[in-house]
Amino acid sequence: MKELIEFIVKALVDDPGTIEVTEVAGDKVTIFELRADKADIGKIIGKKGRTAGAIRTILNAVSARQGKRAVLEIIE
Amino acid sequence: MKTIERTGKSTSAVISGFMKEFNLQLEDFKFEVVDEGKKSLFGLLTSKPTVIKFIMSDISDSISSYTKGILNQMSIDFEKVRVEEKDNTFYVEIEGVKEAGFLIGKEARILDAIQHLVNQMINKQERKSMHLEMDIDGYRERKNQQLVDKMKVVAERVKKTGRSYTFEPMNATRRKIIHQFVEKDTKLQTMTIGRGESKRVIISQAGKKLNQNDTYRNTTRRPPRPHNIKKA
Repeated sequence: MKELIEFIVKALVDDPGTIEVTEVAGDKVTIFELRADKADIGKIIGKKGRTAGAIRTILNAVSARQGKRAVLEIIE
Repeated sequence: MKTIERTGKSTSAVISGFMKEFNLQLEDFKFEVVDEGKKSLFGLLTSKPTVIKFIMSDISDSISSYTKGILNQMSIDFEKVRVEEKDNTFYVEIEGVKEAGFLIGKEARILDAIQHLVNQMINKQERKSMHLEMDIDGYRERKNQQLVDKMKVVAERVKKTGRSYTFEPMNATRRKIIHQFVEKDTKLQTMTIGRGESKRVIISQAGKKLNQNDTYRNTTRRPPRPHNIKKA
């Protein structure tokens, strides 16, 4: 899942090297913390949050199929 | 396909320099060593630089590899991804998907999400806005055909009864299909009500003004926006 997020996001930003995804596993929910360069945050979120929404849609679908729940947090 | 030549001290130095210059990763390009070069021995021999030819993929290739990458990361089984360019639009067709229903998602949400991401990727890469449509085993095509079929029935009914018809909320692409279809019929007109995700199209008789009772109760305060009202 971490690789999925990294793969998607790295192609969207100017500086793929600064992309960092950490997984915080919880009882029911796994939180993925996505860190990126300040200049790239806008690209990851997108107009009206559409890009972030698209990433979350895919993340939710894949994790639901595995019987899990996942949350994506974007951190500056 | 685009080729670029670079020279340098050693094979690895040239490649890493090239990757830095264009902000690429190893899987983004192929390369051929044109000349391996020679190192000078204590200044006795003249050194020859290494020459490497880089082969950059074009937009279709990057669309295809990014789409495949996402599908693989999602562990989706598929046969191939076909990319065609026509009238400034890229048509991406994912073929032979085992779990097509899962990949499309409810109301095509997952398909739309992947399409959006691939579109953002090429917009970023090309530094300009490009149009991209993604389909899975002809799903969108079938859906659009169903919409056209339904529209024909609705159009007949509106003409016969004089009562307007309100469609369920649809995205811009599908609403456009309705607008374009009705545009050809001088006896009908379309308008849109609602905002954001709940925009709906109404088909009514040409020249007819809609009142509150005709429109769907979920309308916003803003009055319906006429699209192609014909002169009576």
